[in-house]
Amino acid sequence: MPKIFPIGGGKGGIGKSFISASLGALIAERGPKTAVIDLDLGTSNLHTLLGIQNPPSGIDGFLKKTTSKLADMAVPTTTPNLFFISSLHCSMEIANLFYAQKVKLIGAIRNLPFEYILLDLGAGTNYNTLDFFLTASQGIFICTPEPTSIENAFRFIKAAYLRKIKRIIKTRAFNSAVKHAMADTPQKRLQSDGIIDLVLKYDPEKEPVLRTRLGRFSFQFILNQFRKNIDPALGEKIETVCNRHFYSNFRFLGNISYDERVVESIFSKKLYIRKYPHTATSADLKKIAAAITQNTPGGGSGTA
Amino acid sequence: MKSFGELNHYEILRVPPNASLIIVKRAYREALDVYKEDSLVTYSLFTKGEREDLLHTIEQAFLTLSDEKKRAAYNQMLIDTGRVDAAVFSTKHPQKPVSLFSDKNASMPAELAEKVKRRASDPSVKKRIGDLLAKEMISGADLRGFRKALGIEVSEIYAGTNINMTVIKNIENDCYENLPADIYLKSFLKSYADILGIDSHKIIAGYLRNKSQGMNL
Repeated sequence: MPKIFPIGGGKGGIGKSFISASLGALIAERGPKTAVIDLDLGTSNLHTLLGIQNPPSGIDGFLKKTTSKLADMAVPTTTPNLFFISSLHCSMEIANLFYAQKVKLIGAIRNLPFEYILLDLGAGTNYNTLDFFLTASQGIFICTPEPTSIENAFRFIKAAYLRKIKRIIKTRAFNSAVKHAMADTPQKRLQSDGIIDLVLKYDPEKEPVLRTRLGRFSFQFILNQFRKNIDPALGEKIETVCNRHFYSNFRFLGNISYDERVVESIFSKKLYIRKYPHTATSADLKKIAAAITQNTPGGGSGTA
Repeated sequence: MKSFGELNHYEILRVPPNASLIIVKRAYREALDVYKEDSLVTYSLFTKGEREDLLHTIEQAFLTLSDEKKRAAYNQMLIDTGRVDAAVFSTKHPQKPVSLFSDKNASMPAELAEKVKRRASDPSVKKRIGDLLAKEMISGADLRGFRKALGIEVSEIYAGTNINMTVIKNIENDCYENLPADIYLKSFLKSYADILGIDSHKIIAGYLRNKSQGMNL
């Protein structure tokens, strides 16, 4: 079973694809066979960051059934051990993936013959993105130390958390009153703590089940574009607050320093860590790649 | 969102039960910084009501822990209800000021001092000390022989005195050209002699005499 790391975060333009490409290359450099998959369906551009000009067909081939194995669609990159699956050639309407296709795709990703798989997700909190994020029990979310981004990151966490809770309740034998309340009218959609309250009210003996299942789920996060004037303890503070107020685990992976040359390397369509391997930003990325490969609890696969 | 729930005041402020007032105050300021309305960390995380509850709890924790009487009563309540073991309140952090000019011997690892003492009580070593100190001129080789008789390694001297190992070796090998100026050398020799438990004045005088003669040759 591969270790899967979805890379998400509510806001756009915060470096999800940049971090996916860089971490993919750095993890592959350390030895394990690694794949990065562009799941930013409809607005994919991970190939450009990896320096691949015209990616051959990828997920589209799998969904159109020209091949039955997703693994056949992985193409090698300039980095040894690093493979790439594109979604560039998917149809223009791909962003609205059918549920069955999504389930099939997630299943196929879980069975890919790689040691590490990074999923580059799109912005937003639509169900596709959330479900891809919940594929593994250790999703990584990216945010930048700005109010807008942190706000969106929390929205993203809460959305993922809520979807996780709903899924746990749906798949386990919870009291029908709880299940019924969940399928409520859109006018009074439930928040996550509302659901937990409901469980406490109607199904108190199930509450520990919910708690342990949520506790097994963990979020990891990275603060990107970190500038010098920002509180250096911001990441730790977010980690502490989240660990206190959610039932899941949060792990802060580190800051990535801001560097103007990142944009320049994107313009020249080269991997930043190849072009500027000795900058502070590259060192930060290396540290995070090491943290991911050295401490990967739970073997990767999440709970369906 | 999970609130502070059953956390006690110490856990809310994230301080140990024996924390001093200064630490409690600092923790309170840090907590306010994280939970205040315009905090970058949490401003979008909690609703208005949730935030008010959290801030109220933090306030209560601080008001209790910063007041000696209230804190004692609260501690007693924690002990009585069995939520906290009484022992955690009694262990105090060492709060002795550290002397700036403490004797090097005092900071010397205890086992090294013990070792030197044990070896020095040996009659043959005692005789060696006497022989060494009776010498008019003391060479590096004499020092090394003496050190070895005590069974001390160069690295142990370094650990006890913080003298660079190269310098210690240069002293013992009589590499005069590589030695530091006399003023530094004297202080190194003093530390060296102190850690071996011998009279440093005689060692310094003897070594310098031997050195000046060696340089004149």
